Amino acid sequence: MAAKVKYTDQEYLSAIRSGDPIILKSLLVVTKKIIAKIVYTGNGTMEDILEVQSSVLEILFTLDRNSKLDISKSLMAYVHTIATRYFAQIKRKRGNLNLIKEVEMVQEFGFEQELIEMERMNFFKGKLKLLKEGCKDLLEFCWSNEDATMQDVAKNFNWASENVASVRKFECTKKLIRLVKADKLYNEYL
Amino acid sequence: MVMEQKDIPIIEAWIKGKLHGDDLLSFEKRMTNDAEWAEEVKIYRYSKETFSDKERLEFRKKIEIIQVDIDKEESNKKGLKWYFIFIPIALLGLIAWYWISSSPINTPGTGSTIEAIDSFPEVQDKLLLDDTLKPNENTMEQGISSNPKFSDKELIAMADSKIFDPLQEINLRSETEKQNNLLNKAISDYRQGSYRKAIQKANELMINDSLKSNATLLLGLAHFRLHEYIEAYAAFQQVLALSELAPDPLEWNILMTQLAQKNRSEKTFHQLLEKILSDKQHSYYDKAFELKKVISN
Repeated sequence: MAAKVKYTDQEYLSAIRSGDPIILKSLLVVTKKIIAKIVYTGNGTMEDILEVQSSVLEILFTLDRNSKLDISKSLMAYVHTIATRYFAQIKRKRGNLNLIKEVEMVQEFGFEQELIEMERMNFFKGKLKLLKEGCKDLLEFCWSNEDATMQDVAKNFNWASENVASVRKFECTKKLIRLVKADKLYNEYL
Repeated sequence: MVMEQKDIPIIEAWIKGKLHGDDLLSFEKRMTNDAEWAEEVKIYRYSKETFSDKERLEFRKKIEIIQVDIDKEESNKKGLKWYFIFIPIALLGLIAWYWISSSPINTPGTGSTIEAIDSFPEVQDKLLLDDTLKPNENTMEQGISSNPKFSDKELIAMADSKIFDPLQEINLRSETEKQNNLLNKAISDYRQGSYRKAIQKANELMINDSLKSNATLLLGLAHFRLHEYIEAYAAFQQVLALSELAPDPLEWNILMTQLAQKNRSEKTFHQLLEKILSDKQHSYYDKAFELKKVISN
């Protein structure tokens, strides 16, 4: 029941920082209607709503972390603007080149850099997902454990030596690079 | 030149800012002079950066977990709601069927059948949709086609342009998947305008519970494109009842089947339209509002 209650912008922001699941759930319920309207108006799908919603909240998370959120603007105005802009990008990349009018509003809200970063991250995440489980797990392990040595990698995956780990990591990296390059839009993310 | 295994530790050091002096100069020189290598280094760097920000990744994961929770809750609620709606409707339907079939007033030519079914809106709707059971036109309410402003063809064109059609947008993933997956093949047929083939494949997919909603939506859209609005209406209603897909676009599509249908009932059409207009948060509120304005002017 608590998830249905509307909270203040400040409470939602605190939840974004602390990860409070109850208030976050309320934020998701509240923002879903806003995002669904944008997505369905643009002939998007249910999957698009979820993708746009998690990306919008992730952008809010980074804006807040970088102290770039303008508290004079309402959080829902941010949600609406980011969602519109992000969904317009999704549509554009699917071949629909008609960008939506709200694009000009982005300057005012100042999240362009975070949006580009978000799109790039989603692009690379998407490509990594296309790799086979073994490769995906290996690269994710290597990149999310900054201090892990090849020895740690070999130990984690039960491989005979760090040499095996290095070779496998290289092979998987090449596969990922091939997948990225096979996408005609990859240059937009570099 | 493409990236080699020996390059990886150097690239890692560069990303971490641990490359200095001549090593850094030589790295930067290569980045400038070797475009192919520089491109692969950038791909490596951005891929790595995507997974380096643990705090951010954890936040996203948390959001995705909550999204799944909300979806489950919504599905359960819808399931429960439909359970309470369908049982009374089914009972009413049974009573109506029993009453109509056994009633002495159900004699052709008396006109009493129409009066009798007026008390049962669900049965009435069913009859209005079924060409074989079409009641006497003189006793029917006039549809919006009676509005001289729009011909049937114009209304069909209007519905055609406004229908919610996600199938044109869905990304078919890999070539292999495109060839092997029957649903993707059906979507391909649909996109190419081979609606009958798409219907055939969608029907084959019905046995698969996990694909039932998508297959039925496909079925509805294919019938809609073939101007078979009764079948399209039934399919959209079925998807709505399955409660797996968002209801708003389905309610809109149901309205579109009524808009496009010949011999439509103004009453049914307006009931569906007003249902959407009664919820300002409905995803199709604006479109419904626009439609109402167009048809009432």
